[in-house]
Amino acid sequence: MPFVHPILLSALAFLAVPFILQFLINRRKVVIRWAAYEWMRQAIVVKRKRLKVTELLKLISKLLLILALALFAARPLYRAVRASRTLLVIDTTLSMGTTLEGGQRLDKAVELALRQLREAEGAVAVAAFDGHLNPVLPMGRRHGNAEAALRNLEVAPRAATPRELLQALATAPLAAAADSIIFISDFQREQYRDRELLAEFRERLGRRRQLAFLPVDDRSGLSNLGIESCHLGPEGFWPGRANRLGVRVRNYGTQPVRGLPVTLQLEEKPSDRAMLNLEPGDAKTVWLTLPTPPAPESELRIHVTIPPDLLAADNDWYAVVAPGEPLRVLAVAERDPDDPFPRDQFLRGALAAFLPNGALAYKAVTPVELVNEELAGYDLLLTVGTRFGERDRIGEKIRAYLAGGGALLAFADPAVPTTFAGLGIPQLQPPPKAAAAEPATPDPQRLRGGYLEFMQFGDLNPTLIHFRQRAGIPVPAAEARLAVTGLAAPLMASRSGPGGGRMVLAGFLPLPGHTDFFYNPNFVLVMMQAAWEALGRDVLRGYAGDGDVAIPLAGSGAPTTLYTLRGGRGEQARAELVARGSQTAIRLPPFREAAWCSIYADQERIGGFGYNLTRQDSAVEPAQGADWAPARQAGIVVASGGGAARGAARGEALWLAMSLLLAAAGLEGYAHLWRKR
Amino acid sequence: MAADWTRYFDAKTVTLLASIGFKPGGRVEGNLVGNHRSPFHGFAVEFAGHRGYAPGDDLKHLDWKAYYKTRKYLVKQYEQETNLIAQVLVDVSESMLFEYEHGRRIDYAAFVATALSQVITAQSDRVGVALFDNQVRAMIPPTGGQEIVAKIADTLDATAKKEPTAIGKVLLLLAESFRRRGVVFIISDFFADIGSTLDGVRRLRHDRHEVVLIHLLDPLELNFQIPGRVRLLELEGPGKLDVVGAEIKDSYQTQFDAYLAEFKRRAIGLGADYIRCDLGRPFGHHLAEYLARRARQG
Repeated sequence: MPFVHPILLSALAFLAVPFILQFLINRRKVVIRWAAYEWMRQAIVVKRKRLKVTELLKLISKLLLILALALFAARPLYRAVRASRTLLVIDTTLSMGTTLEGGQRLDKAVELALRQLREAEGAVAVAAFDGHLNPVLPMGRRHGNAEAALRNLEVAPRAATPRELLQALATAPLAAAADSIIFISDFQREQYRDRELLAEFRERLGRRRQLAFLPVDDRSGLSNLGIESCHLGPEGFWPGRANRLGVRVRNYGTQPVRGLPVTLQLEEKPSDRAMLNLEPGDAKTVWLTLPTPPAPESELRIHVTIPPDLLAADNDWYAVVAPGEPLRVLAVAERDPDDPFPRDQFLRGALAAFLPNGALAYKAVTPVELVNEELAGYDLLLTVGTRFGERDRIGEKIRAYLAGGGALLAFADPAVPTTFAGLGIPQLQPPPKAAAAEPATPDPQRLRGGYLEFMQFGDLNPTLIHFRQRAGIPVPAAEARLAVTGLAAPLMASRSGPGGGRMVLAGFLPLPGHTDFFYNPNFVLVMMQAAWEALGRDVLRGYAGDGDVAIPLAGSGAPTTLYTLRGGRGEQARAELVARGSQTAIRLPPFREAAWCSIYADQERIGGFGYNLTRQDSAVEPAQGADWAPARQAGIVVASGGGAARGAARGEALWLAMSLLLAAAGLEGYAHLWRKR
Repeated sequence: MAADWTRYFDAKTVTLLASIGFKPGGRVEGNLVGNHRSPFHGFAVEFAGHRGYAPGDDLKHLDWKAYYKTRKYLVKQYEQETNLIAQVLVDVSESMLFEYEHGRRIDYAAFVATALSQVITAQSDRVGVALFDNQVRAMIPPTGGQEIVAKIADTLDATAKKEPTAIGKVLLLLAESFRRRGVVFIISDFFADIGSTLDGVRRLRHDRHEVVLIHLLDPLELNFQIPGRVRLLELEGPGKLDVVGAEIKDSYQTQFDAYLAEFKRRAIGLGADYIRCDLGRPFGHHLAEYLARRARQG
């Protein structure tokens, strides 16, 4: 019979202890010269048989007790003997890269698997699990190359759920051939509490097949922080400005963190830093300043870092800023010969304020001229009081522009309720007559999620802005971007255009007599948000490999072109083209290392992106103690508490030891009762 | 020498016991005038009654006053007062050498014998002592002097104690030698055959002796309180037993209690007094209780 710790069988030497004790006790007896000898002799005659049985029972109970303890410590492998075909599954998902005893969890898992291989008597196969079951060693009794094969295993750059494990085990032929499956993993705490799922393990894998969990890590209170994501502020990215970069950091550990430095490196040079306090389980966004030159010639490489901890994979975030071409804007507004100011005056001023020279190509036309204008060359269409009919040519032209992915920022004349009729808004919603004479101000209760949300902080006062002539855009609440008092419908809304594209619609004119909004210093910021939302540009390219991520591909994405992706360690993969809306995109393969990567069309580099390993595995706290109750209730053997033991043996050894202990206790009790009789 | 002869003499206890005194349960025979009623009616001090004249009676004992009243020849009778002769029989067999936490049994017996002798001689009675095992080893003739204390001590020390007990046989033997009825104290552990022992007691009782059995037992014998392993070496034989106290205690006690109960029942049935002396208690307590009880009973 094999044992997990055969060396502990030496504890059987303690079987001699009862005999030695018996000898010593007999030696240490009291000697008395006894007068009432006859009566003592008679008492012994009566008790002799009973005494002998009692002594024997006591001795047996002591021997059983020692035998039980020795066997429990050595852990015999009954089922391992019976299990003639065992499948060892080693978890290689990202969390197995967590630091452990100077190495990684995966190193420990490999050690455990090698021990299983050495001690197994039946046939054993080994597979690695990274979301899929990857065969490492075929089913067999002797594996000469086992050590080399196992030590070559690497942590995969992806996460996987227990359900994926179940799916893999239930469908893989390798698993179907095994009558015992041992899964060696770190068993993240949050993932193995689902009773129904664990019961499903038993159901789908078969109740007669043994399933054992062998944890590699039983530490508690682990500290791990990770960068969840990086994103631009709602005002977007504008070259030449100090743009805002939001970094979302989560504390996955169980201890609070104070003064965590979050550092931004631009082109590998420190650029900005902020400090963060995080309670256990909390996630907070810290804003860093991302300065960019007015006219960047190429992509900017961004690297955000926090100090390394147990799982280093989520301590860095790589991204690329691709500002693209200068913004091409076409403004459409009536020209009034009597008005010295063009109607797009304030919008043009705002655009010029947040876009430096050379970054803005601006052209203004009248609605009549628009009919003859080729719109495909413009990034953003800006209209002031232009009416989009359902059947007129302007409406048709705008709809075609939007269907091609165009962006529209349109201001309506409240006096013409059908201004946006050709854009799916049949009628604007006028204010109630009683309130129409009074100017409206932004509704402080409805700032959240809108363009004026920033004005709810600090000394800013949104009620200083007045709208005299206004009309609401009747859209769902999710599309509202600016709400004013007295109007149920929002004054500004963002929604998808007919056939595609993005449009931001406003129910007022940015002209004197209509509103004083353009005098407000924050008008520029609101216009930045509106324009950025309408443009919808994918400027910040930093992706986590959390599944199906696709990068929009500039140009046509011609199927004859060979697109390739190159990763940080020189990894190279052929790009898979996928449709993303009306555009073509490239699906990312799972690279093994977070880094800046490049996209090549044939041999020409056409862009870059930042690849980051998945964050789904960042909760590295392993299950322990009561966390295992659902698994045990599901009939899964769990070798918790040290992890080095063999899961298959633990439960059985426990039963064996308990049985022997009960037998010993029973015998002792029976002996006691016998004595009393 | 003075230190030797008082080694079994506890003056304080003896003083206490003497104040209670020993009162015989019935009539005693003696050859000296004493404190106790004699079984013989004679012509001494106290008038006891009349009886009819019988030929041969001395005429001087005729009660003429009674003749004048009754016209019958009546002879005056007087109660003769005499002294008590007590015999203290001390078992000196090997079992009396038992010793655990309360000293040797034979020493306790010596104290009891000395105290009883002192109490009896203090009330002008006489006491004799006999030491026996399976035969009489030594005898101290009845005496009323204080020298009995020293004699007991010396005789006890001079007597070898290595023979088994045969109380019954010894009592039969001694009964032959006791010419006058009296009180016989038997101080022993009585670890012998009950039937044989009581045969001897029966003989003494037949001779109208008052018999007092003083049964000396160690607390360990009464209640086997050693829980662990014990090797018991037989005192009056070559045997040895290995026992575990906790295991054998109940069974032993059952056996021993049955023996004690039977011995006491049968002894009392023969008209003997029975005193069980626990060696864990001072001998004076046991004797005081016994003497006081006798005094109350009159």
